[in-house]
Amino acid sequence: MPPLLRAEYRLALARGPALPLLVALANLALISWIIPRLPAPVLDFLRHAFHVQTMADLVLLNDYIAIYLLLYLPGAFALTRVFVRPAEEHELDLYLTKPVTRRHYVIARTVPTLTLTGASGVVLALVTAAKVTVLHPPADALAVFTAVVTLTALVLALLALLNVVYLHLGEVDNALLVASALGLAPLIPGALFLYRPDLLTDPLAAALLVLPANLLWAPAWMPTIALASVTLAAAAITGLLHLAARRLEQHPRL
Amino acid sequence: MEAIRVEELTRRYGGVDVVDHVSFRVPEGKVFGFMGHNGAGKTTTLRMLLGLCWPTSGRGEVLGCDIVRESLAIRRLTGFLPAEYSLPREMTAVQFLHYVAAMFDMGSGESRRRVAELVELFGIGPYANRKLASLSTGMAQKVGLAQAVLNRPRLLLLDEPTAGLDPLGRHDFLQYIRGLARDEGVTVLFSTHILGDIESICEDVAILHQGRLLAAGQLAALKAEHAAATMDDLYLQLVRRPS
Amino acid sequence: MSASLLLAETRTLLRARRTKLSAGLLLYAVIAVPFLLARPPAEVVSAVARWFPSRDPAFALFLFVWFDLGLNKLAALIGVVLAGGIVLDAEAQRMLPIYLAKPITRARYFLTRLGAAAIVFSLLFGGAALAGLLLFPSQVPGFRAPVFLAASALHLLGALSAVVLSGAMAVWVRLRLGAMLSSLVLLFTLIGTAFLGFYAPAWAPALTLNPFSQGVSVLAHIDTLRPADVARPAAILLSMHAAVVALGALRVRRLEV
Repeated sequence: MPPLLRAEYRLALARGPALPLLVALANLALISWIIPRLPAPVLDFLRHAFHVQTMADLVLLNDYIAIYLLLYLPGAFALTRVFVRPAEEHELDLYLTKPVTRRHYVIARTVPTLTLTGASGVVLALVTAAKVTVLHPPADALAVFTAVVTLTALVLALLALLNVVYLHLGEVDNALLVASALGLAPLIPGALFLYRPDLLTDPLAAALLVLPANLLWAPAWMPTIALASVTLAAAAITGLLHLAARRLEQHPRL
Repeated sequence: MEAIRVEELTRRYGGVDVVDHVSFRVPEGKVFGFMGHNGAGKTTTLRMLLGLCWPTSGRGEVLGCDIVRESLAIRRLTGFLPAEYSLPREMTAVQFLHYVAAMFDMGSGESRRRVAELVELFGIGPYANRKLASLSTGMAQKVGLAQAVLNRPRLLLLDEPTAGLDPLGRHDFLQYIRGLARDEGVTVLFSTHILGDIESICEDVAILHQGRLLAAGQLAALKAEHAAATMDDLYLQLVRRPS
Repeated sequence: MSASLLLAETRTLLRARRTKLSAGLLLYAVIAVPFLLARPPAEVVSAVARWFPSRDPAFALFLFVWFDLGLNKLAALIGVVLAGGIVLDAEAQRMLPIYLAKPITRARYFLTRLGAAAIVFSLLFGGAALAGLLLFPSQVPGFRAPVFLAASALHLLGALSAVVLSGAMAVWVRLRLGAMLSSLVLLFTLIGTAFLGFYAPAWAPALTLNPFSQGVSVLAHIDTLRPADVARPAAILLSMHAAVVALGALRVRRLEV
């Protein structure tokens, strides 16, 4: 591993990646406590609205939203270290005048965040699968595990995209607003499905877009979907990392 | 009359005395050189004088006000240009100066008049409505100095003010400082490690090294006492002397 | 707090790009929510009618979606970007020594920054409510302007907790991004549980200290709204805000630069 990348991994680990993970785990526990205690009409409404059946599904519906946000937001904040914060705090010249190409700089600063986000996703996948199997049986542990892996792949691809967007922003506050809007965008079709199902009558469109309920609709297919998602995300991340590096190389202000 | 008087001023960080029982006095209406290497304790001393941080022990007065209990009164009468600072990128020079004027509770008429004076005085005019992020180092330093004198301070504390300036900018800057003391009676505490600057505008100095005061007094008298021909000689003799 | 400094700070914040981005997001919500509710499914309308009793279920549904899906999420985001980095941003950009060398106490500087953020936040959300007042009557069946205004005013007071909590978190955590992330997670948790009292009335007392629950409490009285239905939660919210602001001001007094 190149020394710069190693140094960045050390820094990323020193920033305490376990804390967001612990918050996510606490949220999973809270959801498992709250959802089964909701009145029956509320649960019936959710079952009907999101086309799910079991208590495990209802818990997972909320788990997936929490996991998605709690993987995405810390990643989005951490990625401001690539360009936005150094630009705002006038540190970028300091780094870019060292004998390191901008491509290597982008990769060294981005990859540890993506790796740690991915690792957190795998931990959450294991915990969620174990949780619903034990607390809300019957549940398909493999489907749950692969659903969270799929969600993680989506988050990683979004973060890689965000990294490119960040290159056009010079202030942390603006960057975080844009990042949050981008992070909430994939959840909009879910709202459409709830309030305007007439706009999502095509089953394929619904299955592709209605996040995170769609992760509950085809449990038998989840391992295949996860494999395809991970492959697609890996390709997207590679492409977007190269794009970010190229954008930084051609950045008009540097 | 003394503008600054500190006695046994000490500041400890993590078990280290970065300012160690420092005592000195700054006469009013003079440019007083505050000399020392980077890390000598100059910046911490200046910050304690302004109440930006607090002494661990010792006491001090600025313009007759206690540095711990009356720091707000001190800040009303002083101007400060820190060694390391940046200006708000999203503001223009004029917007920034109006913002600083608001910190002194200046009314809008007074603020407009004073900002216009400063824009004229420092030759900021052509850049006055450009974002501060786009200004050169020299121009940004002029805006920095303008904010420091906006309230017509009786005492100006300058921390390494010439460090980033080109020779011409440095010359103009020193001229301005000299004029402030001579024509307006402003006391200037000029903190620097550039010995040439001290020699060119200061009559009185204090020399700090590793948090301790090595010497303080009239520059000419100190040179004579240590048989030093130049400021460089004096400084080297003092810092190399066994403690 | 001096009026001129508050005005200068507010002007600065109004000019900031993040304020314009926030206004854009709110405008999007104003346009999107009526579109989203143009043809609600019957089961959604009947469920909402159970939680928020009203002679106009469509209006009740609209208020629920407007506050829950639209404004609450945006309140968290906008509150954090307006106030989540106050004081720390000036420190990160090395401007704090300049500002704190002026005759202004740390607490006053904090309160001024927080006050300006609260004013800009109120202008943004108030502006969204006024824009809604123009747009919604023609798009929302049974729309009642007085109820909408009362609900919006109380909601704004509740949503201001996004500014207040973020500002206090900034000076307590003292790490800019860490504080902003913590605020966002805390706010999303509060927002996620804001309506639980409507779904499960037995839990309502436990949500007394959730400012977002207080902010939407008008939805329980859509047809029978009395001044006390707004005044009581408003008083609770004001007390909570004052306590949180005081905690922030207390912390910032010991800040050294």
